[in-house]
Amino acid sequence: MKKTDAKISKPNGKYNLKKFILQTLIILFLTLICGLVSATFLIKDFSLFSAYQPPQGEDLNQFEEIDIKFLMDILDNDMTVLIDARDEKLYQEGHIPGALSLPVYDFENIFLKIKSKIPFDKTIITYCIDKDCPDSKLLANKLFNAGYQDIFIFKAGLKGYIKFQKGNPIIE
Amino acid sequence: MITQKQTATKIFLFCLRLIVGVTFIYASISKIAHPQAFADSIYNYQLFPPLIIKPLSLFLPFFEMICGLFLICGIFKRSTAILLCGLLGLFTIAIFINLVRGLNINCGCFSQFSDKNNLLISIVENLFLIFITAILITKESKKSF
Repeated sequence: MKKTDAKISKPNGKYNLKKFILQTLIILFLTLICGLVSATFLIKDFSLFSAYQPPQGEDLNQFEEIDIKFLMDILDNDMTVLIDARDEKLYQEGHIPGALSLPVYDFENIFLKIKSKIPFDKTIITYCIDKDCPDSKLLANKLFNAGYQDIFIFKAGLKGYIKFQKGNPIIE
Repeated sequence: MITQKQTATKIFLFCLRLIVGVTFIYASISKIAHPQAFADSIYNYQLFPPLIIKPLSLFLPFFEMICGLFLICGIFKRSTAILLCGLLGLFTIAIFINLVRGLNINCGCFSQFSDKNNLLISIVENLFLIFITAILITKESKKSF
């Protein structure tokens, strides 16, 4: 066996690791070159050095808003799930009958606990306190990212519902 | 002297390399063509900070493509098999975490514009590819390392 062959096939772990690191670095170097060339010359509207911006601005407005009349029409429908985006404490103080609580700022924890009550094939309606609060849109966006397709926002929120009910009790 | 058995093993290993290589090249094409859509897919996993999402969406597809090409061409065979095995392991963990979380996201594995995927099927696909790369790591000649 030639000296060079013996060196290549040396079953020494340390030697192999060195070679593995070297080959990995070559692959990473080629990856870097290809990526930079692509970012510089081929891809338009893609800035590598700016932090990723989730498509919130557009996505938050993509959800259709419904009024109280539409809400009342579909509320008794089995295919609809109404979700309160506000804090759990506010939900306990009062909410629209039949609504589930899914506080948007604790989404990751609460969603795991109640996801069995929100099948993916159902129509989702989110709401918060009134037309100016952002929570219902934020929650709709999070649910959309979680895989739900059919999402509406009840823009008037709890205040709109109370106004419509003219003082009827709102806690179940 | 090369025996018939050695030839058959070589052909078998080449077929395995072809399967993994073509899979990764195919998976990288859509990602390279639509980095913004791939960045959205990565974001949907809710596992990475915004700062690394763009570099990841830009470089990862090229890494996949280069590893796929190298594997098919027989360049750095064991190294690329190890790298791809590790990559598949990370992908599987990421998908598994979102499966446990109950998120019904598009895995972004092959096409960035497909409908919501079955994450469980993606995990099975990944495990199959991990199995193949494990065979390549153990069976490919040490000389190729």
